[in-house]
Amino acid sequence: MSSSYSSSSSIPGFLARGALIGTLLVSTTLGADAYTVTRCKVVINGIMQSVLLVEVGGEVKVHRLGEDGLTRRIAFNPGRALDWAAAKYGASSAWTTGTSCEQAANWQQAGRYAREGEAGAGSGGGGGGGYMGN
Amino acid sequence: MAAPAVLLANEAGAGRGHVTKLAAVARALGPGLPVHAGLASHSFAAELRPVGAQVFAAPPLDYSDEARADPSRAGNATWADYLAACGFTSEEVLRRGLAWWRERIVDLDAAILVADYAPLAMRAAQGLKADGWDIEIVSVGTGYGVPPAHLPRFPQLLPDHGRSLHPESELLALLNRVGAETGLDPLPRLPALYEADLALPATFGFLDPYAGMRGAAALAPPILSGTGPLPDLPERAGDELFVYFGAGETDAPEIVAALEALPMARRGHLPGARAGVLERLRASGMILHPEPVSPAEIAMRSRLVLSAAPHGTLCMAALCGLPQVALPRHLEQVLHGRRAEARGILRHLPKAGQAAEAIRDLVRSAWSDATLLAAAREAGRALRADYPADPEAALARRLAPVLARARAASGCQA
Repeated sequence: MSSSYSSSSSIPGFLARGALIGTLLVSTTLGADAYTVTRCKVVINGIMQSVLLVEVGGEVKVHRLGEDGLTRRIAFNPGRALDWAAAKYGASSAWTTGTSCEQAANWQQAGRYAREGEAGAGSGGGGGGGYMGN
Repeated sequence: MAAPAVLLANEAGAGRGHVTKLAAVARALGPGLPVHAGLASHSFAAELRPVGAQVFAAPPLDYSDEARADPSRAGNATWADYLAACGFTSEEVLRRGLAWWRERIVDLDAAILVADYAPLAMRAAQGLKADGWDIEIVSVGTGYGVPPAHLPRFPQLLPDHGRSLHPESELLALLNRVGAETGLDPLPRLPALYEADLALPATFGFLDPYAGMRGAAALAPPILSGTGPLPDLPERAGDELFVYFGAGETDAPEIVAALEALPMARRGHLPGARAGVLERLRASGMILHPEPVSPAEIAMRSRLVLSAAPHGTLCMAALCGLPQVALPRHLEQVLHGRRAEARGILRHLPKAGQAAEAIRDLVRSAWSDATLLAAAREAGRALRADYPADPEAALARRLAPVLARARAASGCQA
């Protein structure tokens, strides 16, 4: 289960700390796209949590630990995190530069998060992802 | 949810006490927790079998061959000098250690790190913690090995040991530069390397080199290697010399020659001694135990204890009211030996003077030293007054909040 956000009242407070994990190059029915995977610390309902952000096309999907089989052991290991994201969204393995928590925080301010259920996941593709060390 | 996993860590130090402390903490944390251990040396890894630890080979922090051959090539004034001598001047050593421990903590899903002489494991855990990884950091060791984290800089430990080859600020800068590669926030001071959720400098106040820099309440009772409860103070002195030496001492020909020629009944445990050394000593009439000897047996049989003043042996003998002779080999032993000598319970011979004849003379003199015996008996009584009847239960009480937090973070009830 993932959450997407668009209003500052409903979005977690991102902290300017996290690690870019990598970017998945995704093949979809509409062509190639890139998913950027970032791990961040956020405050949700007053509790600090680590989350995995998967960003595509300006939309950021927030995946909390414990949901959809995402564990901290996965989120804190770049290879496993990208494998997890690849399994969830479908991806081919390739690299581009990507986002960061700081960028995510900026997006939060700019209201670029989609509302729950509005963000669409990519489909198709396959294989695992590479990773950048964090 | 799964029970919180425990990772025991040791990067430096060759003695058995490092591993037995980790084992004691693992036991005190209680059963039912997955236990893993990253050890730089596997010499005493068997000590962890009873706690079911899965043992990994961890990257060591160790003196260079050059520094071993020529101690003047290593600093000796502060704990920072020790860290420098063990590899904190090497980007590669730091990078390798930080990466290894970070990977192990994540791979093992560790929720509690127990670190004895494991500064890079602690630093990796601090970094993960700052990133949002729930982990409790427990620092355990002697007072010497668990410096206070709040100090602005490490102080000089012995007045006549003042050699610093690398400024602490340079070590800090290098550690921070390497740490930044993996996103670690810079440490403000090098002693902050020892920030922990629970620090357990397990020693007596009179042995703590940082006694003026932390309260006595910060100390934990010494964690002894021996099994079983502390024996009663012996009614009268035994009639044997008990000897505990590691490989560092039994590789010294002068020490072996002295042991061989001592006239009194001798019993000992000499882990790591070469077969030829053991044969010589057996031939001289010394009784050798392949396994550690219990404090009860040592207390019952012994009149005097001879060692290099390793912390565990020193504390065990002190609690048993036994007078001691020490042949310290490295700085921690020098410091502890001097402190115990100042207390009146030990006589020591500096490394430079450890010739066979001098060793024999000192042991013979201490053997019949009534003042030394009386002081040791009195110290035994005084130290026992503050020593818990069940040390591991006391340790478990100190660890209980750590375990509770780790269980809460993992959603696991006790």
